[in-house]
Amino acid sequence: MYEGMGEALVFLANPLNLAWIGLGTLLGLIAGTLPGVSGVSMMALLLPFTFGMPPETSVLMLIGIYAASTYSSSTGGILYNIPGGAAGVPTTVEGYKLALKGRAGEALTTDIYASFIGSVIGFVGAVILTPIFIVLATQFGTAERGLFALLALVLVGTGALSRADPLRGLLAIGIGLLVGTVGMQPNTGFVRFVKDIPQLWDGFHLVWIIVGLYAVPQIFRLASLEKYFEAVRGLDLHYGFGVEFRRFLGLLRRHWGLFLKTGILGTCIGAIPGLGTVAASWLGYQEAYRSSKTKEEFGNGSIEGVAGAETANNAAVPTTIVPLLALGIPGSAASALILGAFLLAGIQPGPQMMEVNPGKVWTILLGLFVTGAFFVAFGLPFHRIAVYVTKVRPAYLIPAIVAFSAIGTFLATGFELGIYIALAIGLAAVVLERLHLPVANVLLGAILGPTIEKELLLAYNIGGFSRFLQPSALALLLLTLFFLVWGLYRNLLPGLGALRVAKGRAA
Amino acid sequence: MRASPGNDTVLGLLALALGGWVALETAGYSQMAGGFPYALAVYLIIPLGVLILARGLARLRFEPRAAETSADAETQMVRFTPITIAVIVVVCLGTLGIGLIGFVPAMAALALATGVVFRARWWVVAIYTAGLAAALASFLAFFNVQMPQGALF
Repeated sequence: MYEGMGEALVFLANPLNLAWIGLGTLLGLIAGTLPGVSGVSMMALLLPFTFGMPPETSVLMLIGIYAASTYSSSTGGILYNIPGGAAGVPTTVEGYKLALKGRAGEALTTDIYASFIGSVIGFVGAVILTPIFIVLATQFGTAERGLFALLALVLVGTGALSRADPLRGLLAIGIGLLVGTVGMQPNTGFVRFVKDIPQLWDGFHLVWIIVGLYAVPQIFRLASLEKYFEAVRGLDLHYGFGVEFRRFLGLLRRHWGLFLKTGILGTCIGAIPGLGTVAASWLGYQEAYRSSKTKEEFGNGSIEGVAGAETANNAAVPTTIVPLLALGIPGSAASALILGAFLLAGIQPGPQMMEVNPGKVWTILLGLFVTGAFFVAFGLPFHRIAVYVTKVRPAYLIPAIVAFSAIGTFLATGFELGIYIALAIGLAAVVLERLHLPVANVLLGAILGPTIEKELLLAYNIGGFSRFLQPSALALLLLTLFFLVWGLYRNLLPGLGALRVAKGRAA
Repeated sequence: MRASPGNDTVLGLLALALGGWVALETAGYSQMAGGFPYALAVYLIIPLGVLILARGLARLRFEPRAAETSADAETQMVRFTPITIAVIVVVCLGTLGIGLIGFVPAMAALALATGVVFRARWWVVAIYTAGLAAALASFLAFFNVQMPQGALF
């Protein structure tokens, strides 16, 4: 199980590979700090350029972006009340209030060290969980692989474990699954929807979908955020690193249990498809509130709230990759992009990867620790640069993003058509976002759809319906049905009740 | 931020249109080839469209109108201001221009037009456009990327 670890250490000791991880970390810090630019958007923008890189390098660079942007999504929140992403919202609630009280330095320092502690706990969790998941996954056949992917989609779509609108979530999954059916049917070779366009017989390329769903809407989001950029110009920030570090050590001594609990909580949440950093962040914040002796500070600037939310959401980052490495099934938009990097390098992650390429698996797992160390090293000085980052006007960012999105999309396949398809998908994504449809679900549906169709049809052709009645397949099928019914029941019933009350009032 | 009843209604109608089109398109395919998209349309997209539309109509009828917004939601979502719409038009024309006038000229025109939309200082826009064009041309030449219609014209 531990073979390949030496190879991984040699890979990570190479300065060039460290430089790529460092670059990813820096870009992630910038993406998380700029309002409207998320880490996933930055990953989408850079994914096509990873073509030709060793897969470990490209994956670690993307993980560097993801980890650093998850951490820095709260930097903007603390400084000017605009989180760089949804995972930074709980920290923003408390951090901005602390900044208003002149405790910005304390909030930012707690944010970064709590994030590091979270990422270390998450790293340990990923190292423990990945081999266990891989051993379990080797028992899976075609039916189980297809059904596990279906279960992941149901968890994501129904919001069974969160509070998302299940109708919208499932509709977005359905649209994604339809996007995945364009082109050749995997079992028969029959071309669907696009018989007259040979360039599309292999379906929509993953890069077109990713750039369309994440990079293109970001261009228009920047255009609609001009007033935010104007509002934050002129901020200044100076505090002593040493003084704040000592203050943080005091916090760690008093609340080490909170760091440990929220770290473990985040680690477990990250490994479950459909949850991820946003859910981890809120649950960590909730746990900090529950265990706090100074509950009255929550909502008015609580340092414990910042610590709980940040430890949990950064602990979830390393473990989001666990289902991907072990089963080849991404459970979130970020891990779907990391899957894209693997596929561009010609590698299909999954249980066989540990047998064929154990060095690659360990490189990625150990690299998770390196990304954590990097964002602490860069994050402290970056706080001061963050103020200048927001001074870059959208007028200059937009043309550069369009140009690099177009080059990246073209590089993926060499078809000019791909650029226009990415633009069309992007415009559709803007409309879907305005209608509150989660585009991450569309991406997961598009990625997992072909797997589900191929594996389930193959399983049916081999063993008929009885193949799905074998214990492991039946258990997955029952779990899927349970989460589908539970998610719908839990999220729709309160809405129906509220409607009945409103109807009564109207009458 | 919770979606408005109007959003529900429009989304429900769009889902019905999409599901109906896919069902009609795939009805003629063989069962093995068309079964999956047909089932998706008939058993998932259309029923969800009906439910979302019904919820939207019910909320339009019974729920009081309320303006719900938050800074968080606004940073996550495109808002259709005059500037945003102008940028969407400029980006679409710039991207379509790649096939007509070449990659670097199309992106330079896009940079100029974006500067005009945001009313940036003319000399900054001129320097930025020239810099971007030079950077893109160097990038394409260095990595030997043959863009459609050639890198320039």
